[in-house]
Amino acid sequence: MANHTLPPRARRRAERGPSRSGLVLRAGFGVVAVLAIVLVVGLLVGGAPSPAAQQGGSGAGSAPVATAVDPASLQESTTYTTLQGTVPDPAPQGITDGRVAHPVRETLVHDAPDGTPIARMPVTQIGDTWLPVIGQQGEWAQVLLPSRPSSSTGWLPLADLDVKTTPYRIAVHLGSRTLALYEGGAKLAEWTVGIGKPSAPTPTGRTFLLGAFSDDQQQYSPVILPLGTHSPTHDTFGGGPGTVAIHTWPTDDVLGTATSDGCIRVPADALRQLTEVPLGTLVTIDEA
Amino acid sequence: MITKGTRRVKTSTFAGAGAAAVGAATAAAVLLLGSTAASAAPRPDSSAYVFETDGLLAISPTPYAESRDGEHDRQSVADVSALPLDGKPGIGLSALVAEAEGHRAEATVAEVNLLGILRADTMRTWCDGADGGSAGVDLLDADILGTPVNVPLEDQKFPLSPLLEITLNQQDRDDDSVTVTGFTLTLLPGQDRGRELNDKEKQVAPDLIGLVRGQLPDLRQTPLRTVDDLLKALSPKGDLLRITVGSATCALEDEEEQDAEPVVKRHEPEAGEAPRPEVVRKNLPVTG
Repeated sequence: MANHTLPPRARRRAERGPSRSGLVLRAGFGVVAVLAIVLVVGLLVGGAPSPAAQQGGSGAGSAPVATAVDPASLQESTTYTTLQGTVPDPAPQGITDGRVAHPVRETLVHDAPDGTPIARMPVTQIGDTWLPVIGQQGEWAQVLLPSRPSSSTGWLPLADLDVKTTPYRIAVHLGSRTLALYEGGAKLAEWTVGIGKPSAPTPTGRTFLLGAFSDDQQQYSPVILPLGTHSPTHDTFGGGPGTVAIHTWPTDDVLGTATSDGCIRVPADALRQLTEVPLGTLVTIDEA
Repeated sequence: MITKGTRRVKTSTFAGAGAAAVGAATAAAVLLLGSTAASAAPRPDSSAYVFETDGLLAISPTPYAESRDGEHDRQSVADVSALPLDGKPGIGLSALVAEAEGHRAEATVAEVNLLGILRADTMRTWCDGADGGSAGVDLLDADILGTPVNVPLEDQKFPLSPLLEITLNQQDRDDDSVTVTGFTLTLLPGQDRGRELNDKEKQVAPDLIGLVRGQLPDLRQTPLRTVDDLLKALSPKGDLLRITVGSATCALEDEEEQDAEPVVKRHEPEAGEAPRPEVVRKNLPVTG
């Protein structure tokens, strides 16, 4: 940051030279001024600034296809729900071409192209909804879902999706307790991480970055990156649905250990980098 | 605007006009609770604010911005104007902006007029935690009681009166951070409290007490011989009144952090690229 050298200015008001008592009186008036400022500033400031949490806003709600199923009767596909009729991930350790999809309006999740609706996919859940595209048939995209069961998939009509690409991929290796970040197939960085303990293991399979949030009630990490997968042993945890996440931890001694309840604990630098990675980015978790 | 670096910035601005309904309550809360904005833990990487009063009356830092984990924060208030003196505002500040990103922070303000003592077209108080830390105050067309001040020295004091102390560019450092305070006006500084008031000070002291306490003192029961007498008469707790314009605090970057090159580049996504995630506020217990 440059220290600007500012141009000198012509002397002005040089004739002013109040006496000390004058200064004190000014200071006394200043106290009154502060009283007034309390009100003025209070009016100006109003409520405290807060990053807007974008929650709950469902889209236009147009169903893409005519169906006998009442969409209103379907659950949303979120980290809080458990769906019936989903399709298991056909390639739990496969990688994708990097496409990620954002529903531009609330749309229906189907069990197959032109198949049966099984859930509603909201536009936002933890920020905007972004899902990795793992396959395509005609005008339908197969995506990983954020709901239980883990590693479940569904089909969404492409007409309801904004499809982009991410060059990144995250690979978590439970055996070596490492997390690697790839860009375009090239490894950018790798960190030693903490993983779930044997009684509450980190689930394997492929999932994705579901969101990025800060939580005043979970002070161990400035930002938490929830994944679209869940603990296989904790149906609930701490009042939540057992969502597995990537986050930091107050002490570094957990790195390289299997001591968490399923989450992936990373060093601060890793979190700083991963917070820049687009939502929907694929995360593969294996035993290597 | 913080000028160093090319990181994509995320802006959350509040200009609190239109908050009249809560203004009075906010003002009352400010009076009762004092400064609370900087109390959150853990400590941010950097923070800045433009205006604050402390002591007899407390106004929280306004506007206040802080950066955690490299995030950019920018807060602003359109203007502060209060108490006409000689037909002009006794305190006038415009375009108050506090900005923090990573280990850099700055507070800028325009059209500064503080009780006719300090005037400046613009004032920028900044710090940078890189390379051991640096800080400073940039002034444009500034004077103190008519005497131009272009590049203030570090901890430059203006002993205008024993009862009134002005400091420019005060810098405080410790092993972890550097803090720069642009302009501080302290009414009744606590030093030399045993000093006898001179005749002029004794002359204006009752009026000053009347302004602050709401009633003139009974000089038979409240003798005003020393600075300490005056302090106790103004406030039984002996608090001072301090007005601050411009403050920035930057945590020092450690060498390891400086060496860690960001592997994920912050940039505006090009057409077809998925967007950088937005960190939202959310309470979602994860598996930890």
